Amino acid sequence: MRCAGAAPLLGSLPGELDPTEEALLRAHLSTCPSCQARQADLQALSGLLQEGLLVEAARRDLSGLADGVMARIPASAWRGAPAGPLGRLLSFLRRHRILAAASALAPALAALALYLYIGRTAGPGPAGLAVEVTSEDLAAIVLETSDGPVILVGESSEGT
Amino acid sequence: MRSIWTAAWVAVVVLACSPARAADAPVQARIRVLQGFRQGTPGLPPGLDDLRAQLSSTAYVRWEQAGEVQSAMQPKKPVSVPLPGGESVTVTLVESRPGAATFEVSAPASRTQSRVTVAPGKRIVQQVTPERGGSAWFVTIKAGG
Repeated sequence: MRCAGAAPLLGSLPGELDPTEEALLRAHLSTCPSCQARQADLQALSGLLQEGLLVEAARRDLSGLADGVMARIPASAWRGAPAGPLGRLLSFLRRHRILAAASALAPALAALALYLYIGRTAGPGPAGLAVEVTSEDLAAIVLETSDGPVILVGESSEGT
Repeated sequence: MRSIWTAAWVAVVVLACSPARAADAPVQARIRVLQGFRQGTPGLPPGLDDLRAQLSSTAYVRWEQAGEVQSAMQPKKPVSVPLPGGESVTVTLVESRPGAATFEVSAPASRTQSRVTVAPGKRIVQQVTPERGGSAWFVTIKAGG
């Protein structure tokens, strides 16, 4: 590896280079004083930057940062609302109360309609038959068979 | 939102009214006039085989068919079925709905009136005259032909 190839790799942080690049750079640095000096300068500069940023951060007062951020969020957006899909659903329903009521009422109306429909279309009973016979003079007998009723009239019903 | 309300109410109205419309529908009915005899060679003519279960439950052993009326019966509109000898029987479809039809049979000869609700495929067999000389007249009604 020559200096032109090694230059982009100088100043890299630990773990940034793959093993091949690291081996080639190490081999070049062992034979190139110029690149050794450049590597040392870059490492020193990186350390200075870190230290400088830390000093600058320590100089600032960030104690009110969290309170400031929370104060800028509208209270209605988080108070009492669970996080996640349930929270979003509840928030949606609060904003569309009538739609929510209609959604709850629709199944109830459908159930009522079904109840009315079944009530009106119900058959004559488990046996499938409903027979009423009136006879002025004769006694009526109803025989129920698997195919339907048989209605017979017999002797006079008087005296029976 | 409004469309959901509308759809829900339309469903209720349609479902509630559809049986009423079905109740007004005509019913194809097959009415047969039979004579049953107490005595004679027991048996049924081939055309009465479908009535075997019902006719064999009576004390009449021999049967003959004397007439037949097929009618698309309208609710509340009576159909007169003539009997041999000048008498007649009135059959009225009182109500029809999915799974059941109610007929009223009025037989002046026996001063008998019946109201019977039957499921599709079932038949009504009714004696419409008193027994005279060992025989009596019957009508059978089957909804749906």
